[in-house]
Amino acid sequence: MKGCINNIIPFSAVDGVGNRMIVFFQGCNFKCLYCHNPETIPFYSVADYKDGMVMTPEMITEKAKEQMPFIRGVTLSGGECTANYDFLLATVKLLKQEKIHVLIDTNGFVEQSKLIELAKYADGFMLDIKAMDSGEHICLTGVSNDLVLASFETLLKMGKLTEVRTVVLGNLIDSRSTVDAVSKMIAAANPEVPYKLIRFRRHGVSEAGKDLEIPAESLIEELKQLALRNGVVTVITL
Amino acid sequence: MKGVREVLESKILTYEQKVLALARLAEDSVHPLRMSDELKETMEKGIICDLNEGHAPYRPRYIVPDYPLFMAQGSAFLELSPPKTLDEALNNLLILYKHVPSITSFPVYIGNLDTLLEPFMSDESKDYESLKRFFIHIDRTITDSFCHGNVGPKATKAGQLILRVQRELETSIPNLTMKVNGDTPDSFVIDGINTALKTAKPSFANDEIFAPEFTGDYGIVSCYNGLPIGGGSYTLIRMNLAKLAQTTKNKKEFLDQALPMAAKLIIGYIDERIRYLVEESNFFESSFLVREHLINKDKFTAMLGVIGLAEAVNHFYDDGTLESHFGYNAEADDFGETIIETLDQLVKEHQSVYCLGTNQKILLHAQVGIDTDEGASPGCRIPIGEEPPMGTHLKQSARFHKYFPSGIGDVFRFDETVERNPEYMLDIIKGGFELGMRYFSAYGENADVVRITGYLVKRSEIEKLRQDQQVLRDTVALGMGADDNQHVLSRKLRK
Ligand code: SF4
Repeated sequence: MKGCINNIIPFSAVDGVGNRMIVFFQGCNFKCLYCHNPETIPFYSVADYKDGMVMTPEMITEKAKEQMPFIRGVTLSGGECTANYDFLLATVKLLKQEKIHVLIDTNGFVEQSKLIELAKYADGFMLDIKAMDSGEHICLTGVSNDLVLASFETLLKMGKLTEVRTVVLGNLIDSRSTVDAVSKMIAAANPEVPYKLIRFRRHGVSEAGKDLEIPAESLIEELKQLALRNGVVTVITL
Repeated sequence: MKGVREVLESKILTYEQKVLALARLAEDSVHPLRMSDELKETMEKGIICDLNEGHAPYRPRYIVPDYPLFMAQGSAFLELSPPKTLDEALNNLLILYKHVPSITSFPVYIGNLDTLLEPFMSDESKDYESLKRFFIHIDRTITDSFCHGNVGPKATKAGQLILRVQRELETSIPNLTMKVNGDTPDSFVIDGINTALKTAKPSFANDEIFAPEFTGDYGIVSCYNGLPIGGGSYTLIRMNLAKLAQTTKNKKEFLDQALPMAAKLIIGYIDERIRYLVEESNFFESSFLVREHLINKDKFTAMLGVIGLAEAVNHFYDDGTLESHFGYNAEADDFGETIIETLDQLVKEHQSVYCLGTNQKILLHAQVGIDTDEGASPGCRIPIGEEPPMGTHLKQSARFHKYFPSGIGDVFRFDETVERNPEYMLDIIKGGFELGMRYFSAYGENADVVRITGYLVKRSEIEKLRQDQQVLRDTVALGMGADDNQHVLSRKLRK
């Protein structure tokens, strides 16, 4: 089995606690206006993939083993790695065979049966909830958020939700109501799940996102306080 | 070496720096050491170098006093009774520091400060202020970055306060090492990491490797040298492997002839320096440190340094590509280890009668170089500018660590994102230690205090010196030279 891997960062300080190897899968089922890696959005067939590496689960696992004992684990990201389900599942299984800690970074747009299967093996998931209002979600990503919210429930129930994230924008969506609703959801279900608020930055963003505004620093702080007031124990801002 | 008048009349040197420079000139005006022509020739070629240790060793290069003993007994000679409070303890230490000789005339080891001071801790905010004054005093009077304090491996209140003081003061002096073993709590190491990212110290020493080598009692001294407490090192002479390689035609000649020959000369020179120091200089007969048992001849050793392993290996393997080089080519790396293994064997076969602190064995030391070095990387390091990805780099480097009880280590420069995730560095340190790495140093890209090769300097002071302004600390000049010649401030940024 082979898959398209856009990039691998062997040592990463920015994808979870500690040092992790991060694998960027090619292809995403969203088209977020603020995507920082728009080059990872298109899907390619293995045969004509030129931009990155065509790899097998074995190759990815080998690469992870090379980084031992310096890394705490591997984060599988994208693009949207669950969109490449069979390949992702094989990779996760193999990494776990080697007793490597695995986190999956996902937009949550995945059939629940598949998510459940992945969650049997993976140690945890970092889930993006980009907007609570379905209309806003469609406007921002091109699709509705029904599946995302279902994934939130599924992962919570399975005890596999490591972190929830929201990118805070200065315009287009009402970040305040999203953060309000998401933090209430977290607090009601499991207040220990960390909530990360990421301030939108222009770096890497394509033409499609040129009208997006960077939110004021004060808004980030205000939303952090809101989430804390709503009962989330750990709110991280970036 | 500059002439007397040049020193006297300098507009840049401070008074203190002048006095020390004049003392060197005086020492170098005599020639009591027996040196063969062959040795002199090898030294002229730069293959063997005594690092300006002077012509007549009248004090050991590195002295590692037994500070716990000093705390317990005070000092008859200095008329000090054992301290009862933190301020008395700090005052006693500051007094003793001024009487601990070394190659630089400044103490290169100031104690395992946290365990030493922990019994005196009482009121946190007062203690913090006292410690802050203590460290300011050290930074402004021990004007040399080879001055080194230790903390750990136990986490203590004193240790935490000492680290906090470093984060607040951001001084280049003293250098600091945290000893880490399996019992050291992660939270204490992370405290150390946060401090290192801010002010380039502490470095981290693998206590599980050092402790058995020195039967428990060791200090990390000067740059990163492991040495026995209550003793130290008589001398440090180094071999430039890069230059040695250039005199040979092939690997066989290098390993079978050149290396054993150079080893014989350097070991002989080390022994001759020790002979003069122990038998003729009367150091051990005249120092109150000896009379009061703070140091003891039986606890001393000597160090044989190496530099330029990478360039020596590349001399035989370079085919114009990076892939052929040390750090990239498995065969080249293996040959590098063979060189060190051979030298280690040659050194272990030799009995140095006065090195009683280490069973009459001289210790190997990966020397970090001096400001004027060109074309030879420190110790076994991969040259700056050729650093491979970090995982590969650490694994390549770790294999050399076991040969160097008296010091080896790499310096890594970290991106600011690491500040938000100190566990990232914790993982790297633990992984390295698991692989047998004995020492690890890091600094953050935005820090003013940076680690040059082993010692610390403030970038802002280097800039002052570049503009011919006077600076208090003598190591700033070394840092400037090292940046000019070895580009140490251009280390690969890790993120
Ligand atoms: S889900 Fe992530 S990768 Fe996909 S388009 Fe959105 S930001 Fe980009």
